[in-house]
Amino acid sequence: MKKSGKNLVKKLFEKRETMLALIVIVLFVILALSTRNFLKWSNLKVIISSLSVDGIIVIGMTIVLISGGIDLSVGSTMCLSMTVAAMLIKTGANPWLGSVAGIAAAGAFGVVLGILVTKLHLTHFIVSLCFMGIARGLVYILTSGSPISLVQELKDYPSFAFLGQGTLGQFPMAPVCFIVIAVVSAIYVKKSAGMRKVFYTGSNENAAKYSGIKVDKVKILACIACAAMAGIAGIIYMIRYSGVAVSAGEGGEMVALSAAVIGGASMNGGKGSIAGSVLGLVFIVLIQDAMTLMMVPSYWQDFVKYAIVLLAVCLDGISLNRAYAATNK
Amino acid sequence: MALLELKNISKSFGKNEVLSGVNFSLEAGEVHALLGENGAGKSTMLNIIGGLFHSDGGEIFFDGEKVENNTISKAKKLGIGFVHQEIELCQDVTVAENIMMASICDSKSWNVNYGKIAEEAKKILEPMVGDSIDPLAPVSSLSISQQQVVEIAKAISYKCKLLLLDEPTAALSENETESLFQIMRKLTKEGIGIIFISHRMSEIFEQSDRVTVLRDGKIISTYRSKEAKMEQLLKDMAGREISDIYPPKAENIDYGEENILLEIRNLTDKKNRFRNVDITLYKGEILGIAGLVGAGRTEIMQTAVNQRKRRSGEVFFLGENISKMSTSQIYKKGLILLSEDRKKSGLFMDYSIEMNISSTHLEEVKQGIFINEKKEKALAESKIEELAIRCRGPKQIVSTLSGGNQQKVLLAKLLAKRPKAIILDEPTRGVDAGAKADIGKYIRELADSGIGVIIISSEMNELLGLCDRLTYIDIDGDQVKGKGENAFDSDEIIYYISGAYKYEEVK
Repeated sequence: MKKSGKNLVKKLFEKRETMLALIVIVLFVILALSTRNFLKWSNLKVIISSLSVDGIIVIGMTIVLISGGIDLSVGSTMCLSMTVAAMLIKTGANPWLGSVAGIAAAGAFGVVLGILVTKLHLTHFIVSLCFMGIARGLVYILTSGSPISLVQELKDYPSFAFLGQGTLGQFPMAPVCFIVIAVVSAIYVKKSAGMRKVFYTGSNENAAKYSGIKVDKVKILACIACAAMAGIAGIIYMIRYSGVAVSAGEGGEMVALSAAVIGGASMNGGKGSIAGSVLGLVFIVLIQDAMTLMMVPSYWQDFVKYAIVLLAVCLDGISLNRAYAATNK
Repeated sequence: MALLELKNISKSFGKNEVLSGVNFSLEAGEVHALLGENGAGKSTMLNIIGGLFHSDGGEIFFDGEKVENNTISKAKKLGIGFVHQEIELCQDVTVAENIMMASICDSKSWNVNYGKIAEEAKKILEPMVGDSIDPLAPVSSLSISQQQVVEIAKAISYKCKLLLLDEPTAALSENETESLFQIMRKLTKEGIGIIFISHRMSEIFEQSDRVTVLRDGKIISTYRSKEAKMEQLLKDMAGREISDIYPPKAENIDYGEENILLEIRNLTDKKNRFRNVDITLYKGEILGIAGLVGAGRTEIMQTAVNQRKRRSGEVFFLGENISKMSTSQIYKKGLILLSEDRKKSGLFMDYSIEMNISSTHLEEVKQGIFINEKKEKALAESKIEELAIRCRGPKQIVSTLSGGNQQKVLLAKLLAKRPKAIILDEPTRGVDAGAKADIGKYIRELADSGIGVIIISSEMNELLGLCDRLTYIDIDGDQVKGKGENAFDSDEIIYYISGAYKYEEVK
């Protein structure tokens, strides 16, 4: 079959990722032309740095969304991960081991979420909402509400500190970590046989079951992947800010969810891509930055941001409706 | 003057014409039965009268007046009550609220007078079933037949003049069916007209005044039920000759004991939907389970592979007793049941053909941890050719395929597991003639390669044209033993599966 060039262009435009990339570029150009400070390296550095922590969370969120689930506890588990790591490091543990322990603590929430969802047939929404409070509560219990500073400890382990504070030439390391993780997971999500099973499960659980896929296992693993990603994000955050703030990651779940949905992930499962979700996040961050640079009153910022998210969800709903109409004659 | 009159009604879904030039009339106080094969357009016709669908052309006259822009609420206000095939009640809400739902919604008052509603519901229920149903009980506490009664009560609560019943007896037992008919008779005495769809021949002869046969979206004939001949109705329903769309049958199947694949002995299910069924399947043959919808054919096969609970009986596969194995163990042994609902349990509708096919072939298209796209595409293309799937290419999304081609994708997906025997439940339901031929040919090829095939079907042509042997399950779930082994014809099939042979004996 031959594809004409016109068809190819049309195909590209049908893809959410291409559309988003275009919008992001346009937004970028407008910002560059209309504001004085946008193109300054200091501003761009803030943008890419603030992207990296949220970006790692978005990757996990996308995977759990594809499996047909959702995890609202990512902001809290991220904070719990770094709290556990920081406290261990404070007591003299090797920071690498401490970090692994932190990520494991976050991952444990994923394990329990997955088990409750598959074995007790609870919904992701309710269980992860509870975990959001429970994980945050644990942070408060462990720290008694006071921040932890790791400035001294990080000085003792320069190779560890490099991950979040170093630079590659002019480029800060935290975004580099994020980009590496994003590229690897983008390829994995798109190409791997394992991830296919997650797509099948999210698209039609029964059909997946009848195809011989162990649906419960797939769902549990997706939950773990999401929670562990949040844990990793927490560690990067901890290094970057040389410590832990007990409120870190508050609202992180909304940012991640919004980015994934704008990027084409469906709340009904079976759809989504890392490229889309990351572009969705870039979009949100740019909008946020634009509002700051253009001196939009801060009271307005949430309103505008979530109105855009709502719009994206509506787009998702419209396409779902169409698909539904098509399959039901 | 007729209560309801349809003039030249037509309806298409996309390119698929489901009703064309339908003329139909119903008198007040009359019970009019609709008869036809699956997909003949019976439900569509009721849905148009009930306002669920708009007709593409033609006119509806109700009570002497032309009905324009019919909608569900308009039909309700006109006095058309509709009881759907599936029970659609709010399970956690009381009987009274379910029955009075329409008038509660219409009421201008700002609060709901529950006492009054319970009273009114009682007034509707009492003449039908006395006080055996408590209006204040939640619907979930009722039996299926009681829920059916609530559905009818709901349908007639709104000054009903015409009642549409879409297979009201499919889910009911004999006694329940009898009480439903008593209710129907009471209603017709009040001048209410009833249109009902049923597959049970005996019901139609006993309960209806007239019977109309639909086939391929057209009205074929209308008879007074007293004057109707069973043979004629059957001929009108099946209609077309069994054209040569089906491949030639197997010529020399070896019915030796060593060729037995599957043996079902004396199987009865827990709920007594069917009793003492014996089925033997040999290598290389296509065995048809003939029966009407609701006869328990599906249940027999589900019980055989332990998706349902059994009361008694045993199942042997390749000489091994599989009665106590789980469905997935049986599946691994090489016995696969393909359910009739392909959307719910078979396909990933939003994904491409190749993604669907590779879902059961992941090992084959994998390279390391990644999917090899070339292999995936090649596999899909080979299956597309093998099954003659009509599509734009392996990347086409399954939901945009026709029903027949969807079914082919599902078959391709399933046969990856290289089964030794397959059970296909209504493999060509809702499928056009071309795809029927392709699927038939493919099933024959499977059988020729040594696989045993069981087909559950209510389509006459499929039973006659494709199957090497048949077994009959009548409408009560009894197997007709010793019939259908080699020579069979459509009259014989309908005679047994409709339960008419019992009816005739009584006569």
